[in-house]
Amino acid sequence: MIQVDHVTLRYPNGKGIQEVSFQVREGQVMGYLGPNGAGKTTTIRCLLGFSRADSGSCSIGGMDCWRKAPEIQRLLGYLPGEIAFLDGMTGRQFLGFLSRTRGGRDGVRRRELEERFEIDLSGKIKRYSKGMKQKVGIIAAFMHDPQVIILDEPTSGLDPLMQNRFTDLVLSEKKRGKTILMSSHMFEEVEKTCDRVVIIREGRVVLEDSIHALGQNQRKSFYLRLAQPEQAARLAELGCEVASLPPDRFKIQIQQERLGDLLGLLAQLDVISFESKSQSLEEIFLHLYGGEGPHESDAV
Amino acid sequence: MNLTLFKADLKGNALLLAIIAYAMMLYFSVIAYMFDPGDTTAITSMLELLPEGLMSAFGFDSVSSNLTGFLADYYYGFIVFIIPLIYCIVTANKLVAKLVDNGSFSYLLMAPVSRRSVIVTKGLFLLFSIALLFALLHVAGGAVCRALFGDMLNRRVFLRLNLNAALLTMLVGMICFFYSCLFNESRLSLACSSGVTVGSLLLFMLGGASPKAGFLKDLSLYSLLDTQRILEGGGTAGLEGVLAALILLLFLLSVLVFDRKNLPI
Repeated sequence: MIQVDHVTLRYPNGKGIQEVSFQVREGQVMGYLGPNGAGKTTTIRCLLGFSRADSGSCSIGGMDCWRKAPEIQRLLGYLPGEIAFLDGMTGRQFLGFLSRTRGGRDGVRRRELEERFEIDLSGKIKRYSKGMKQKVGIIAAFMHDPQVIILDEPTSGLDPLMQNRFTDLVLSEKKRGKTILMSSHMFEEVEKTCDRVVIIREGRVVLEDSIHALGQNQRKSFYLRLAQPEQAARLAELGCEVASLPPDRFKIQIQQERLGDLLGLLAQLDVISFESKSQSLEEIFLHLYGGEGPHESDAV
Repeated sequence: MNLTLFKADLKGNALLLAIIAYAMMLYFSVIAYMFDPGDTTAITSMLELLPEGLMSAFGFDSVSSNLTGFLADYYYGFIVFIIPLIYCIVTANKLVAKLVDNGSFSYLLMAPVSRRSVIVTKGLFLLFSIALLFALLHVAGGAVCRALFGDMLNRRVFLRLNLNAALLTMLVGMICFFYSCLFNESRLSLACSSGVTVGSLLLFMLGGASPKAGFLKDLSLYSLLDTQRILEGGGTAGLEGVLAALILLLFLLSVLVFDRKNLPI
C-alpha cells in the first residue's frame, strides 16, 4: 500500500535520507523508528508530496506521491510531527474547516473521537496545551476514516492515559484493515501496535524486521536497590549484566526469556526498590550491533 | 480556486481589512476636509511653514484649486500608498510564508486539492481584498466629497485614480506574494517584500525632494501611478495594461515557484 523505493533527498546542510526503501502492505501497521534527526520526517514529507525526492520514488496505493498528491489525500490521514494549526480558529471550527475542504461530512466519527480523547473543542486552538493540540491533530488524521494513515510521533505530549487510548484507537483501526505508518523515537511506543519495524539512522535504513523478532532479541533493563549490595554477585551468576551505581543501586540487563529466573532470584534477595527502565533505541542498537553502537552524537 | 479556503482566508483577514479600510477612509476624509473651494491660501500658508524639500518629497508641490486636482495631489500623490502597503506586506506573508514557516500549511494540503489550486486561491484572495479596499474607498470617498462639496468631484477622473491606485497596490501585493511563496521562512519573506516595496517608496520620496534626484523617482514602482496624466483626462499610455501584465507575470511566477519547491512542513 505504501511503497518507498530507493528514495534519496539531500538538504543543503548535508542532512537528509539516502536510498531509503521499505514497504507497508495493506492492513499492516509499520513502526518507523529512528533517533531525532535521522530522517523520519523527511521520508514522510516525500510520502505526502510536500517534498520531491532527488532520486527514487514513493507511492501510496499505486499512485506517485509527488504527482498524485491530491488523489492520495482522498485515502490518507496524516498527523504532522510538529503540529501547528491555522490561527484564530477554535478546535471545532478548525476540524469543521478541514472536513469541508475534504468535501466530506464526518460529524459522527468526529464526535466519537472527541469522546474517546475527552476533549473540549470550544476554545481557541492557540490557547490549547501541547497535549490538547496533539489530540486535535489525531482527530484530524482519523476523522474522515482514511484507508492509509501516516502518523509522525503520534503520542508526543499525551499523558499515559491518553497514550493508551491512542494505542486502542490504532489497534481498532488495524482490525478494520487500515494501513498505518507510525514514526517514533521510542521502541515502546510502537511495540504494542506495530507488526513490523523499520529503523533508520543517519538517513539510512539499518534494519527492517517483525516486531516479534526484535522483541525476542531484546534485553530488559532494570534499576535495583539492594539492602546488602554484596548480593549483586548472585545477579551476575544468573547471567545478568550488572553495573554498579554506588552506593546501593544497580543497573541490570537480562535476556527477555530469562526474566522468570531473575524474578525468582529477586524473591530471595533483600530488594529495596525495583524499577524497569524503558529501553532506548540506543540500547537496541547497541544490542543489535553486538556492542558496536552508533556514535554518541545521535544518542536519544 | 477553492471556495472553502477563500472563505476561511476572508474570515481570518476580515479584522485587518476593516482596520486598513477604516484608516484609508479616515485619511481620505481628512484630506478632503482640508480642501476649501473658495480659498486655498490657508493651506498654502500652512505649507510654507514647512521646509520646501520635505513637502515636495511628499508630492505636495502645488495647491490645486479644484477638488479633484487637490485630491490627486494630496491623497493620490503619496498617502494613498502607505496604508495599503502595510496591508500587502502583512497579508501576503500571512497567507503563505507564515503557514509554511509554522507548518500549518500541511493542513491546507490535506484535502484532495492540488498545491497549485491552494496557492492560486491565496493569490486571488490577496488581489480580491485589495480591489475591495479601493472599491470601498471609491464609494465612501465619493460619498464624503458629495456631502462636503456637492457635485465638485470629477467622477470619471476619481474612478481612474482609484482604479490605477488599486492596480499599483495589486502589483505591490504580488511582489510581496512572490516573496511569500519563494521563502520558507517568514522573516525572509518579510525582509525581502518590505525591503523592495518600502525601498521603492523611499526612492519615490527622494526623487520628489529635489529636481536633481528626479531620476530616482522614475526608478520607483510608485511612478507607475501618473496622476498628472489622469487629471489631464488623456490616456495613460497603456499604463494600466503594463500594471496588469506585471501583476499577472508575478502571479504566474509565484504559483510556479511554489508548485515546484520542497516544503519543510
